[in-house]
Amino acid sequence: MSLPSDREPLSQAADALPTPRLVEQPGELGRLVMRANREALRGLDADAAWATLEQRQSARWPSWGSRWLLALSGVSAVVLLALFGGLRATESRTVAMVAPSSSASVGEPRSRELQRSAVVEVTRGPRSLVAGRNLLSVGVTVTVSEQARATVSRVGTGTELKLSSGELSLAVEHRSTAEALSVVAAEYRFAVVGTRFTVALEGATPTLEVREGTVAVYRGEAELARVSAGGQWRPANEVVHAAVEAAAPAGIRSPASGNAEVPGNERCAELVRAGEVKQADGCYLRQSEGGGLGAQMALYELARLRANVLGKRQDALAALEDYERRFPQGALAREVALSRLEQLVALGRVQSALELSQQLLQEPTAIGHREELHRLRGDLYRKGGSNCTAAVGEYDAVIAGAGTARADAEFWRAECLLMLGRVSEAQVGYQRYLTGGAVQHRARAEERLQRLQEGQL
Amino acid sequence: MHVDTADEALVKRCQAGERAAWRSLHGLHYPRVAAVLRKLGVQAEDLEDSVQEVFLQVFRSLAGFRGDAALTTWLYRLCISQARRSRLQRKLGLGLLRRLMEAPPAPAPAGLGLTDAATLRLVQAALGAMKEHDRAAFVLYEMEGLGVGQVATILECPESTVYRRVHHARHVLQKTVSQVPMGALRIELESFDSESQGAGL
Repeated sequence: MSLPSDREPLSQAADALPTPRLVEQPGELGRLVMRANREALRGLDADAAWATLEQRQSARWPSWGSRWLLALSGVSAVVLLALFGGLRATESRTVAMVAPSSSASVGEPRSRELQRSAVVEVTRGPRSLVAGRNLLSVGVTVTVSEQARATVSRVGTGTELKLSSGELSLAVEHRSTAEALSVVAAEYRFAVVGTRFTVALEGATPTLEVREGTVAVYRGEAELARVSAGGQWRPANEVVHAAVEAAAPAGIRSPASGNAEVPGNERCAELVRAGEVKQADGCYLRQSEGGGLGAQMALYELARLRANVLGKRQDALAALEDYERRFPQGALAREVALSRLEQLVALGRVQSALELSQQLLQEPTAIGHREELHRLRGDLYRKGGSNCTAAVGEYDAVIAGAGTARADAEFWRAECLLMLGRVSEAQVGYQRYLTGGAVQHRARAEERLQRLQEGQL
Repeated sequence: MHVDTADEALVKRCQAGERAAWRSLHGLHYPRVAAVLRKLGVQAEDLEDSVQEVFLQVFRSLAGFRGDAALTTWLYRLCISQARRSRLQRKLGLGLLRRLMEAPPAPAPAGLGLTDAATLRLVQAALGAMKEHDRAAFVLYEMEGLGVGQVATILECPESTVYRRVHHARHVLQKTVSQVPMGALRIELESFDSESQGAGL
C-alpha cells in the first residue's frame, strides 16, 4: 500500500486512501490491528467494575481535584448541605438579576439515589418543585433534596427559584441576557451567570457551593460577592473556601497598583480561560500583593496555574511556600499544604514529601484522607526510597481503612513482601488481591502467584 | 429518533430510574468503553477510573438524553473526551496517587516475537505518535469498524476530514511498525493467523 505524503492536497490524499480497512486487506498492519483489538478486550471484568462504580456512585465523590477541597475545608460544607434543617420561610427583596453569559454542562445530582424526574412548566404563579430532578420548561434542571421546599416562578422575563428549606442544585444551559435565573434563600439572592451550583438553607443561613462558572450573591440590591468554581460562600463574611471575590465598589483603588484599579481574581481567571496564561500569571501575582482573602486566593490560584498549566512546578512550589510564610493560619492553609505535597512528589523530593505527609497525618482534620496519604507514603517508600519495609507498614494502614485504595495497596504490599523475601506472605497478599475483584494488576498478580506456586520465585 | 432499538428500551428504563436497567446498560457497554479507552491511549493504571468517569457521566446525563443520536455515538464521544482528559492529567501531573505508578513494561526484545500485550503496546505507541484527531479517527474507523459516516458524526467533522485523518494515521502506524524487527513481527502474526481462524473481531 503506497502512502502519499502529508503535504498532498486533500483531494489527492482522499483518492489515494484505499477504502477497505486495514483488517480487510492482506498484510501485517491488518493483523496487527486485529491482534490489538483482541488484547484490548482482555482482562475486563464488568462485574467487578460495576461493584466499584456502585460504591463510587453512592459515595458521591467529585473529581480528584475538588475532592481535596471539599474534604479539607475548615467547616464541612458538604455535611451541612446534607443535614439541612429548619422550615423558616423567608421573603426576598426584589433585586436586579445578573444575566448569565456562559454555558454549562448537564447538572450533577447530589443525593444518593438516582432521581425521580418531573417536568415543570414555569409560570407567573409559584409552582412547587418535587424532590428529585425537575426539568423546567425554561431549559434548566433543578435537583431538589428530600424534604426540601422550593418553588419556581416567572419574574419579568427571568426565572426565580425560591428555597424555603433544604437544598437544591442547578445545571444551567447557555442563556440570553433576557432569560436571567436566580435562586432566593432567606434574604439573599444567588444570580446565575452561567454555572452549576448548589444552595442549601440551614435555618436562616444559606450556603452556596459553586462547581462550575460563577454565581453572584446579592443582599437587597447590593452585590456582596461573586463565587467562581470551587468556591463556597456563607453570610456574614464567613467565606468558607477559595475562589470567592468580594464585590469591589467601583472606583476603589488597590494599594498595590497606584492609580490604576487592579483587576479582580475573576479577571485573572478569565485570562486563563482565554489562554492568556502569562498575563494570568502576572495578574494573579499583582492580586496576591497585600493582605486579605483575595490575596490568599490569588496566591493559591497562581500556584495552580504554574503547576497545572505552565508546568513550572518549582515556581508553583515557591508560590505555595510564599503563602505559608505570609498566611500561616490562612483560610486555604490545608489546600496549600496538600498542593505543596503534590509538587514535592512531582519534583521527586521524596524526603520532604514524607515529612510533610507525616505532618498532615498528625492533624485532626486528616480523617477524611488518611488512606490516600498512607498510600502515597507507601509508594514514596517503595519507589523513591527503596524501603519496602516501611512501605509495607503504610500499605497495612491503607488496607485497614478498607477504602477504595485498598485493592491497590494489597497488590503493592505483596510486591514489597516478595522483594523482602517474605514469600508466603506475598502469596497470601496476591491471593487477597485477586479475590478482591480488582482488575488493574490482575495479570501480573496471576503471573506472580503462578510462579510462586511453581517455585520459580 | 435514531436510538438503536436494542438500546432504546434500556435507555427508557434507565430514565425511569430502574436500577437493574442501569446495571444492564453498564454490562452491555462496559467492554466497548474499556477497550476504546485502551485504544485511545489511556494507560492501564488510569483505565478503571476513566471507565468509571465515562459511566458516571452517562448516569448523570441520561435523563436529558433525547435520542437524537445513537447511544453508542454518545458513548464514543464521551470516551474520546475522557481519553483526552486522562492524557492531559497525566501530562500535567495531576493526581497524587498516580504519579508513582509503575512505568509500562518495556517492549519485547528483538527476535523473541511479540506477545498480545506487546502488540497492543506497539499499536498504542503508534497511536500515541498520532495527532489526537487522527488517532480518534483511526480508532473509530480501523479498530472499531465504524462507517465513515458514523465516524464523521461522532467527531463532528466532514467525511472527507475523516478520510484525511485516517490516511495520516495509517502513515504513522506504518512508520512505527517499520521500526520493529520484522522477524519478531512476522513470527507472532503468523501464529496469530492460525489462532484466529473464524474468531471474527
